[in-house]
Amino acid sequence: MIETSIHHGVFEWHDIWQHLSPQSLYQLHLGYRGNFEKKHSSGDPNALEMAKKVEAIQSILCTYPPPQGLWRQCPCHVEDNTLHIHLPHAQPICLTFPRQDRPPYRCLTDFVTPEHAHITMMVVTSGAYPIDLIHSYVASRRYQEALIVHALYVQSAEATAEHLHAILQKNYQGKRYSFGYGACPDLGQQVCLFEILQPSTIGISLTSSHMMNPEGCVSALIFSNPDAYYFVH
Amino acid sequence: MAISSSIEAWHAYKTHHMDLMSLLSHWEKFPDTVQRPHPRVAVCTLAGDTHHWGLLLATIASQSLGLHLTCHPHLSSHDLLSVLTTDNPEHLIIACLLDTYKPILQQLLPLIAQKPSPPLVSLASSVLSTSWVQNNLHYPSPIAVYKSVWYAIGELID
Repeated sequence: MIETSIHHGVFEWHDIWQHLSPQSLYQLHLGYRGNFEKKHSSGDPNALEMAKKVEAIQSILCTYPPPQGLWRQCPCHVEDNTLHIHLPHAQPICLTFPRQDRPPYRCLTDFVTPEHAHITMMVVTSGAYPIDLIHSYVASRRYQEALIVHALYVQSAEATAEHLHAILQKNYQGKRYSFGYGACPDLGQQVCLFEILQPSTIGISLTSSHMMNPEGCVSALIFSNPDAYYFVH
Repeated sequence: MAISSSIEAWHAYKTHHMDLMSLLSHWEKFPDTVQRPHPRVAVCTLAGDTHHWGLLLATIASQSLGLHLTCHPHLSSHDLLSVLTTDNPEHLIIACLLDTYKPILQQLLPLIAQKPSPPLVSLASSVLSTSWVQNNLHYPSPIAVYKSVWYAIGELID
């Protein structure tokens, strides 16, 4: 019997930092050229200096409200490309995903099998966008710090999703898929996920274009099938 | 007008001779305090957008390069049209992520064109370049939007 209630977690910043992706933070957001981790471990002065600046901003962000998340596991069944999510005392909620038009003609629903007939939905947030902090840095021409705050804030949401997924994976293995990417590109289906998780309880809303507000949020479906993998259309 | 060191740094960044943090570090030390004869630019995101990255860097660039540039996040269609009156931009950059914006933009462009001095409109979308509305948009890619806002600003400077 699956326990279908909505779970709420509040996480420690220190635990979240463990899941930061150096590649995303330093290379993607902060524009570091080359392999940051390798350079840092070899004692490259630029990499060390950048890490020091990031640590200084981390110590400031640690004084902000901690990241939070909601998650819920529900039984489900599939009909071809459509996933039917069963909620207690309610009609099933249906999500339809595209199928690849080339071999192996994969669709996310293929990962729901009689042995793995449940789905976990999650949404996490690193909190309100620290606009005042960023504005104060920009106003005083401390641009690097402004960019680091932005990067850490956004990447903390990703790290929180990783952290929560790691906790959930203690019970089962699977892959995490987010709307707007590869296997489930239709952001409009966020509406269904919001109906199931009620993220307004932790301050998350959807914009008219189905993006999450505040910016530091990640939502996902977890298909708990060890054979699940990432693919694109 | 002579090229300032802040613009030289921008060119070094654009030609991969300087990384992003070094560019920002240079701009911190050597701000360009002279308003330069570039067109008036407004960078906007639409109401459904939550990404600040492009706007943050556009703000920093305008402060550092002496651009006549204003940034407006989360605009409704009505607000966006108001910006045309209040800022009177010669160039309007709409940072835009999603396919869902396409119909909104298709409605907006004729209204913009009716203005007495319509701005040049470019769409900083997820196709990694300054692209026009008739281009197909793709799914959200914050880094692509940030890069394309940079690209649009670069076109003004270069």
